[in-house]
Parts: sequence; C-alpha cells; structure tokens
Amino acid sequence: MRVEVTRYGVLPEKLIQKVETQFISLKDATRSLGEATRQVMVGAIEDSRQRNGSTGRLVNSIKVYMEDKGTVYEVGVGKIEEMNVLAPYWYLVNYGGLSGVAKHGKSLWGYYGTFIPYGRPRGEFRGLNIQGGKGATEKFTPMRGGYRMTPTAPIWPHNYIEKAANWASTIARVHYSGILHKVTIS
Amino acid sequence: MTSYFRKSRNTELSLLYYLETNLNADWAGTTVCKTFKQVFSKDVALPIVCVRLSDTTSERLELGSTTLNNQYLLIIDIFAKSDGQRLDMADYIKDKLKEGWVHYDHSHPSGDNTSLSRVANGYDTVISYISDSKIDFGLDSLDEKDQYRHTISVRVRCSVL
Repeated sequence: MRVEVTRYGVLPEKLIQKVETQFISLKDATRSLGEATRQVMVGAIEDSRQRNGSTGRLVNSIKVYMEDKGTVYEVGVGKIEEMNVLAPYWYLVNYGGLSGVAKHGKSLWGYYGTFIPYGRPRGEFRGLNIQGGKGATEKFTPMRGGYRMTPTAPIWPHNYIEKAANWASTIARVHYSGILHKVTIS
Repeated sequence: MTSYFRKSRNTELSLLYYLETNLNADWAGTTVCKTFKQVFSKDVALPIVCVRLSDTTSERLELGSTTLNNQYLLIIDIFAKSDGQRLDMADYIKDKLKEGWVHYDHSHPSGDNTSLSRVANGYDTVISYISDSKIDFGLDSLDEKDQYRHTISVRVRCSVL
C-alpha cells in the first residue's frame, strides 16, 4: 500500500505575509484619505468665508491625527479638545446660530477698529459712554464699565464638517476598491 | 413667460414641500423654511425645521457619456421647544426621509415670486445618512431658538437625471 500526500494552497506563513502587505497598503490609503479629507474641510471653510481679514485660526486648528494600534489603524481629522482651545468658535461656525460666540456666553465685546478720541468713537468701547444711535441702544449693553455686543443677525451655518464627511463617504468606496485584492485560499 | 427652476433648486424645494406637507398634517404649528434668516425672524415661532441644499457632488454616470450623476447634500436643522420634542421630531423626519419623496419640477411666471407651480418628475431617495446629531452649545444663556437644536444631513439622488 502506498499513501501519497500532496499539499495544495498557500502556506500559513505566506498567507500572513499577504495579509500584512495588504494591511500596509490599507494604512497608506487611509492616511492619504485623512489628509485629503482635511483639505476638503479647509476648502469648505475658505470657500464659505464671509469676511476679509481672516487669521486662519480655524483652519490651522484642524489637523490630521494618526494612531497605529497594531491590528487597528485610526486616522482622524480635527480633535475637539484642541479646537475648543485654538478656535472655540468652530462649533458655531459649523452649525450657525444667533447665540455668540467665541469663548462663552451670548454676547461679545464689540470693537470697531482704530479708536478716535473726541469724535465718534470707533475703537473699543470699554469705559466709554455711547451716546445715541440705534446701534447703541439695541446692540450695546453697558456692563462692568464697558459695553458688550449682542448679535442681532444669526451666524449662518458653514457645515464644513458635513461637507467633508459627505465627500469622504463618497470617495472612500472608490478609494479602497483600487487597493483591496482578493486573498485566495485554495 | 414661465421661469423653470433647475435640478438643484427643485431637489431642495421638493424636500421642503414633502416635509411641510407631512408636518402640517402630523405636527401642527411647525414652520418649514429655507434660510437661517427666516428661522431667526421675530415673526416665526418654534418649532421650526430649516431645509437647505448644501453641496452637490457630480461624477460621470457611465463611460462614454456626458450625463452627470449628481448627488445632493441636504441639511435639515430642527429648532424645537424642548429636548423631548427635538428627539421626537428628529425620529419623525428620519422615518419620513427613508421612504423617499416625489421630485417636483417647479416653475413660476417670470417676475412673479408669489405663486409656484409644480409638476411631479421622478423620485428622490436617500443614498446615505451623513449625520444625525444634537447641536449643543453647552451654554446656559442661549437664544430661545438655539436651545434645543438637532441636525440631520443626508445625501440624496434623484431617479431622473
């Protein structure tokens, strides 16, 4: 009696190597998708800018974060804790609303650029009395020696987060389909 | 002479009309509008639903064709009277969105902004749900209309290209 054993298919070591190679391709693809998503988000912010003189704080606060946990690789765009410090108005700019703004509260300190004494003041209004004017009575409220401004017109929503998420979900399928290869076990 | 609206505008108005019709029947007193200026107008009371078309992504439908396969990002902002109403209204709207709705081609006589005609032409369906979340400014002193807010954003495609 003769027994013949023939091994077919891929050796386990070869299979592991194939999967790891594919995982490296996926990591590269995910990293580039994250960076491209950030570009789309930045583009959405800049395209919808309403006023000149932007400092770029909001755009600069949005960064790409990567974390390699071995079998899990994560890429994120924008970190809430960081943006709350660097550009705390990110939330209001995205979702819009009437309540201002910057760091806290419903009102913010108003200013009009260069201060001109003895004439109609165009600087910060701290410690000064505002006489007359529709804007003074409706928009400016005396508070602790200065004046705070309550917005009367809503900040309209820019929805840069939704636009970037929409783009990423549209492109991800096409992006990954070109990278994923079938790993066959025969 | 008649002015006909284009695809993007028709998509936005079709969803607005669909939600307005349903909310008038099931949730009396709700205002449906298109802009934040209308939302925060003193004449408009809560609850309010604001429908906006934010973005359009285009790609070729097929090889050798110049027809574009447009997909539209529609954002629905809910301004509610309470947190409970916010949640209920968000669920209600999502239930309505998943059914899809009739796409209308709109038109009006040139120079006449008061009357709008609509003719059914196709069906709009949701391709993907992008977001469905509470908007929380985390502040105590908020404008009445910013207190209980919710946002739903969806990607939509029309059956007729």
